[in-house]
Amino acid sequence: MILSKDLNKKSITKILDYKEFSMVDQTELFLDDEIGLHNDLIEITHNVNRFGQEYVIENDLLRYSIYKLLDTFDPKREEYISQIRFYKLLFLLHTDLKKDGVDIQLPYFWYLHGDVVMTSFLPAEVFRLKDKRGWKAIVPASFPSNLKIDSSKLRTINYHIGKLKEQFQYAKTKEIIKTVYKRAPYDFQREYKKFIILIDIQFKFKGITSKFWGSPDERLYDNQFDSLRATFPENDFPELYTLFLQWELFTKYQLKQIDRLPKEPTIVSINKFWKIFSEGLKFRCYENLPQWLIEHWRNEYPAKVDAYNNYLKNYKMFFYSKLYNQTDEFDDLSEVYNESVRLLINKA
Amino acid sequence: MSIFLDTNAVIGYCFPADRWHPQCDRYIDKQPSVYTSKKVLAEWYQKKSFIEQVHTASILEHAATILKKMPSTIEITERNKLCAIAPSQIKPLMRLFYERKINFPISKNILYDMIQQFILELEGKQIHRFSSLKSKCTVHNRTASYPKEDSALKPVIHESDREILIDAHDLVLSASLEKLDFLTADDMISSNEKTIKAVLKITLIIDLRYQLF
Repeated sequence: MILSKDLNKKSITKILDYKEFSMVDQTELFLDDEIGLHNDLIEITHNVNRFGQEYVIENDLLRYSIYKLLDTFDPKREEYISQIRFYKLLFLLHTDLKKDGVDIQLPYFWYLHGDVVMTSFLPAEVFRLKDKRGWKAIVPASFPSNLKIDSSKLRTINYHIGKLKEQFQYAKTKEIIKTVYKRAPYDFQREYKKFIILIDIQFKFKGITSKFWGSPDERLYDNQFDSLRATFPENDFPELYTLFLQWELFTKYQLKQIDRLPKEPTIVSINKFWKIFSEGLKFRCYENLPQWLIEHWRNEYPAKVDAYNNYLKNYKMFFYSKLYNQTDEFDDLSEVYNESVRLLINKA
Repeated sequence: MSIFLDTNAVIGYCFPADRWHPQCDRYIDKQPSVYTSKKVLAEWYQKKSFIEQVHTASILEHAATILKKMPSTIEITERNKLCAIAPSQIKPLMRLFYERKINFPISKNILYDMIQQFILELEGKQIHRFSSLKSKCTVHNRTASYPKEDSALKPVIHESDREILIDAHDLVLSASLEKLDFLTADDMISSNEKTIKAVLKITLIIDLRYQLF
């Protein structure tokens, strides 16, 4: 996921500071895919290391797949395959193989920047990471000899690795990530990614598009919000549905008024929603992870939803007092509105 | 004169829907020095959030239901259906909204946008009231505790109300105020005015319910 690089923490804090309703934890910004994925890995590794529990997938199919994949993509051992590229290819291989009935039991889950392969759960003897202008995935010189693999499964693995090589040997990592996203469990993930790209383009070229084509931004935003709404997995994420509708309410207004409003609060708000959605995603969409980790994520999630809810409440105060332009369009309905609110005041 | 606002006075001022709103509006705006405390704001914030959550969420979910259940273009003949699918607590409001604000036939996407605009306006009004109150109000943050005064009030006043009354008491002492009136609509506080005045440095308890201002 991507968004502007020209922000600094101070300017955001300044804009968002609203006395006692100040918003905290504003620092997360949209990052370039690869940097973001790398951050996902750091965050999760740190998160998992706290438990101090050992967990490794013992599966020769996985051992073979890791070795063979790296060996095929880097036969001369030039050590140029970035760890992100490696994990993404491994994920594609896993899903391709599963369709053909071969399960290499790749441990992964879906998070902020797509799938995250749990490095520390992989069998360490078949690959290692080397810091060489960024982390590169490399294989040992000799093939692990004692693997017990059925020959037909071996052929299937080789076939799919060959196909991946054909397709992605010279492809940019972004291209691979795009293919991974096509396999995301929810359409909403793809739509949100499109939304972020759209915002990024609009912010970078603000003023240029409208100068040439009038003001196309509004229609573009509307369409993208329609798609987000249509694809939001309401049944699987019921706890986030109303929060999503509220988020849409504010974000849409801000984007339509972006020429006169600061863009930082919008970026923070977009990031925050994606973060809470991803927190719900990681314990719902995963494979081959230990139950203790999933339970931990599931248990800490309600507190994270509460924190997001509080953020949204504070944001609402900020939004209405600093960003929103009041009109008198609905003043004639105020009496009946008051009636319905009055009942709630008495209950509160 | 200096006045200290209890939570129900803040609610009365910020929510035009509140039954004490006219009194609060007239009275608070006239005062040269208005005070309240962090505890009051926290209570107000909690109540406001509850109201907004239930009310706004109902309208937002109603709008989303329209997108799911109604045809792309909504004819005037379907206005009753729109009202029928609205949750009961917002039904009269939405009925009036459809009658006065919507020209049928209308695309359901445009209707959705209009309902969003409607919510922004409704919610915005309350926040603006609060901002306006905050601009004229000093928020006191008490750090001292008053166990003796607290024990004296314990038999007659609830704990959260005692805390707010003691906030006002502390304000008088720490800001060396000559007089401070306490504005409330709380029956328990109002009916125990004598006890409160004997224990705390509060000049008057002004009961919103019986004031015409």
